[in-house]
Amino acid sequence: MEEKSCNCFGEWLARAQERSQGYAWAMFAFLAFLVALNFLVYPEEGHFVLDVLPGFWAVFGLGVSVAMTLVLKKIIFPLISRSEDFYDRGN
Amino acid sequence: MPEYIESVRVLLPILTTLVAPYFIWRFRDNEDLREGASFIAGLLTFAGVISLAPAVLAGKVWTYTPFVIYPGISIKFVADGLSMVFAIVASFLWMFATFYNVGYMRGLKEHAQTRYYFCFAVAIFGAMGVSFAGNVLTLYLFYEVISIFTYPLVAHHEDDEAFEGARKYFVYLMGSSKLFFLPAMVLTYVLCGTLDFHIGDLAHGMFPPDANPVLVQITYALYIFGLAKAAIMPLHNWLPSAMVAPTPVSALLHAVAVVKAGVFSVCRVMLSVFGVDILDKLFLGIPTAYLAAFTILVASIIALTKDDLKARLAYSTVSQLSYVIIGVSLLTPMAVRGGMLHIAHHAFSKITLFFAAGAIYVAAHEKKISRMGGLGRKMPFTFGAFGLAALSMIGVPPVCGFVSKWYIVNGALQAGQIALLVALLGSTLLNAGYFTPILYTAFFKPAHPDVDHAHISEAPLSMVIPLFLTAVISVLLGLFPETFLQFINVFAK
Amino acid sequence: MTEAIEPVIQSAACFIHPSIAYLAAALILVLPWKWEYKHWRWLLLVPPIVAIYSVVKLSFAPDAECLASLHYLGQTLNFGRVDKLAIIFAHVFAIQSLIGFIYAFHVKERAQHVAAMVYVAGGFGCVFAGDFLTLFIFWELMSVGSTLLIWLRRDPKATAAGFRYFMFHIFGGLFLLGGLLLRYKALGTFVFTAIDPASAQYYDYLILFGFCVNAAVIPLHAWLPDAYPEATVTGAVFMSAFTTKTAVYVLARGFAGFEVLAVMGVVMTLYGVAYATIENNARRILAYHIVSQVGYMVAGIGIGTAMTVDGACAHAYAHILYKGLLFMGAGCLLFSTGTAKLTELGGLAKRLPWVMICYMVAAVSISGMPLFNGFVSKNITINGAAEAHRTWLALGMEIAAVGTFLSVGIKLPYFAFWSKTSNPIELKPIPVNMYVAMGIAAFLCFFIGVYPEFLYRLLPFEIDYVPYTPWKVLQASLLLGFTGLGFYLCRKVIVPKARLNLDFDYLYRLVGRAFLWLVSKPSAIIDSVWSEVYKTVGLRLMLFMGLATSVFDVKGIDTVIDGAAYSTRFVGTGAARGQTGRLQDYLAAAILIGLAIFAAFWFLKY
Repeated sequence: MEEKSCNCFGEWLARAQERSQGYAWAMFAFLAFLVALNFLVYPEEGHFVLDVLPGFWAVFGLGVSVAMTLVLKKIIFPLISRSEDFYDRGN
Repeated sequence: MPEYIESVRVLLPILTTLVAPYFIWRFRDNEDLREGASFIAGLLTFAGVISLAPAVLAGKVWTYTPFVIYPGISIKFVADGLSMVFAIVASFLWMFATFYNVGYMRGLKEHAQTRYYFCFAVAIFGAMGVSFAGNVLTLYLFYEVISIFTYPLVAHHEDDEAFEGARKYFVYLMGSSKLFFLPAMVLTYVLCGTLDFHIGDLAHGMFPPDANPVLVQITYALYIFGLAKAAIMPLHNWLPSAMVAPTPVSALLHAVAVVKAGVFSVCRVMLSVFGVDILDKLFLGIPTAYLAAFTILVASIIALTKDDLKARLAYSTVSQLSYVIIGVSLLTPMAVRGGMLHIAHHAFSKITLFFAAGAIYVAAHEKKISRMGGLGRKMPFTFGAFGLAALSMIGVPPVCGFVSKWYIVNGALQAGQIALLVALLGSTLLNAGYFTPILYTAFFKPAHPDVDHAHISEAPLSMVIPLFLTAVISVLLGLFPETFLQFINVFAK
Repeated sequence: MTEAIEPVIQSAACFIHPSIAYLAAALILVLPWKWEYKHWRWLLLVPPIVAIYSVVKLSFAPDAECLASLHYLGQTLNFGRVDKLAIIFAHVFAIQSLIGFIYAFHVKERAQHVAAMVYVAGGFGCVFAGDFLTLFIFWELMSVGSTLLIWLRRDPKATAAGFRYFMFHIFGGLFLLGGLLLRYKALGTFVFTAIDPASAQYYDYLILFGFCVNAAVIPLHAWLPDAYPEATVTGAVFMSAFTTKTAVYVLARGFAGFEVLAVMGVVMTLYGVAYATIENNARRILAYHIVSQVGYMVAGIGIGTAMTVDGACAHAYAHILYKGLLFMGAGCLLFSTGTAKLTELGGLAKRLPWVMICYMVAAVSISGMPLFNGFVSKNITINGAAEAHRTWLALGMEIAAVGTFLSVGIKLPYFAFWSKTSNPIELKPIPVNMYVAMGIAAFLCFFIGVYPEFLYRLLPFEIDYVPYTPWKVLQASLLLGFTGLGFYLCRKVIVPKARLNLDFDYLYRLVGRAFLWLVSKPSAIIDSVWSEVYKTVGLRLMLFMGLATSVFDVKGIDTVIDGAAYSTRFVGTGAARGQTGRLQDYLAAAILIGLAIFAAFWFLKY
């Protein structure tokens, strides 16, 4: 299973990485499909009041992940990060 | 009232230890005969002590009074449950110590070995006398014998540092016993009309019910400060100073015989001179417990700051001795048992630790913990035993230290002393704080740059075997605590 | 009151306590006989197989109050309390221990295996403990075992981290001890049963505190991200499973329904993913993730309904499998490249493809993708929270789910396996056993995902949760898919930096340093003051005493005061002669003083 004579799977992945743009478009298409499905499949009663609306979870997922990334990396991280040898320097 | 057996048999262990020094001196020119004499004496002493055990376990008490000086003042010996605990510990460990002594003294090619073994034997004679003392005078005499004959042992190296340390040792112990213990003894005689211990039940002591309470309290305070061998603060400083002694001396005497004579005497005084009732009524138990708790915590904290291994162990001893005191002064059945049990359990674990320190010194010539990096890989048995004994000190089940601490902690609960409970639990954390670094430095840190590891290997077998065995016994005692508990239960009915 | 140890096996169907198998194996391995690695390594697989056998047998047997007990210290220790709650944890512990030992099969150092065995034995012991005393003993055993797993990395950072870890766990253990003792004093029993939140006393809260330390509840969690990244490659796999899940078990057993747990649980879920998103070290990301996932379990226990407690148990089961797999993947990266830092990894997909696949299986499991075990377990808790009308808690959990996928499901593998086109770093070949272990775990993650009955059968309470409904599948897909889109859009922002993030351990260190400073200054001062006192007062006193008894032997006393060579000569030659002389002197001196005081009192009394 290591890199012996034929790292076939590895080679395939390498080639896939080169064609990543194509895979990206496929992904977007799939996501659009899911939102479309959401108009047909939805619960009568959601956990939260709004989640019966079509596209709610899509917006939730996208919104929360973007917000999280921005808040954490742009605001929190600069506040609490220190150099790696912070503790070793006797702080 | 217990059933007494008048018999010279109770003198056997004392006589063997009295005679042993003569033979040691006799064989001074032949190393092996001389050490053999020590060992055989130890074996005989231990056998003598064990021979007393069955009757004691059956609830009887041995007694013998060789000399009567004055009515109520005599030299009297008694063997009950409490005596057996200390006597078994001291005589048993003397045998181990002899083996270890051989390895250490010969390994370092020490001088004046005859004087050394001679004084050792007499010190054990003192310990036997203390454990079998039947009255305050006998206790006092043998207590002083220990002080006197350990002085040459502490000053063994005969350099300035040794004399300084030995002098401090001597002044503390002699000074406190003269200033405080003697007057206490006199007061006891005046108030009670006798110096004989009240044997057979813990609740009552020697004092008559109409004794002047203030005088009784003063007598108690004088006893507590007179027994500096128990290393209660502020009279503890002799212990770290006595670490200038060769390690086997520190091991047997300052972890077993001298200090145990101190706490044993405190137990004996508290339980057989005063008794639980009077200590309770006159509010003497709880202040002692708080003083002991203070000692436990402060000594542990000081231990954290010491880099010298023996110094750290010395302060650990100061701390652990006060566990015995706190147990007995809480006055509840479980605490009293726990305190007395700790006399034995601590002895086995502490002697392992000191033996290991000596082995490290002989094998690697290192005393400072910060320089012991990686030594554990070179001396796995020594440090393995050290680890087991350290776990016992911290109180990790099932090593024996856990059992005695368990009883003391439960006893504190029984007495409703939550502050003391917190102090006891906190000290566990502190113990972990100062023992763990020794272990991880030895096993998991790289070697110190100034220390050459190429020539280091385990210490001589005669040192490693005893310390390994005492470590194993520590574990066994934890699994089978009834070994000593049976004597304590008989004593504390 | 007999103090002897008397084992009592009370069940007709012979109960093999799994811990015995592990401790026996540990004992065999720790003894220093010369045994070749290629022979003793097969011993590693024996205890897990025995454990699996034992637990599976128990899962088909009826519940039992006390299958094995021991008398110790006047108490009866209950080692064998078996019911569905215990079984589900023991079940996954057994399976994970097998996976863990297969993963560690290549390790030649016996000490590492001994430590792992002691650790696992502790875990089983805690799960089957029927009383607090037994629980405490195994709790401490686990602390010792896991500390050794950290120290055995033999790295300066690991040594220091291990010490902090050990001290903190002892600290937590003491709260547990204090609580259980005070509870014993109040109730007279050590029995470990559920505590009613309405009538909980201060001692119950002490026990809760002790449990929360091991469960890594904020703010007692800092030991986890501090120590887990420093553990050995194979040790971390064990540690990811046992300490925290044992804590979850004891919380489920004792503290179900405690409101504080519900709230703190959700705080944990969010706190953990927040730190995971900004961390650089792969194993530290996973460690923070443990905090987050355990938060789900703690919250489920805190809410306390049958469904949420079931959810917590199911989640624990699944979590052990996929978290173990995540740590195995990260461990393979560390083992092979020598680093776990994302800034130094990247572009490794084509060079370590199978590691990547196994990791991704775990990554999608943890995120709750349909067809994998996370989907059938995590959502039970969220569902249960919503059904119990705890809307805000459920919302928090959903947000944390997004964060989970973001940090562990995408960010970590992206920066470890992709993000660079190529990585020249040298790769050490990964032994086969590590792949086998990962394969087994990946298979189980998938298997339980498609056949959830396997897991649901083990749950303590009856459950009527159907995981695979069209809506649930769609909802999960939407959530995950769009989170992925969010990552894609922000992929330049989320790049990890080689920095250290301050956490509560900053506070602990401050406290520790302050304490040491506070202590060493006064003790040095007291020491020097006391030496002065001794020199001035003590010695003078001795001189005075010497004068008082000089009638008997001035020379004798002088040698003590001077401490001069005289005493050495005196002592060295004919010790017997000199010393007995001294004794008589002192005896005489003592009696003189005694008689003097005695006389004084005699006259005073009369």
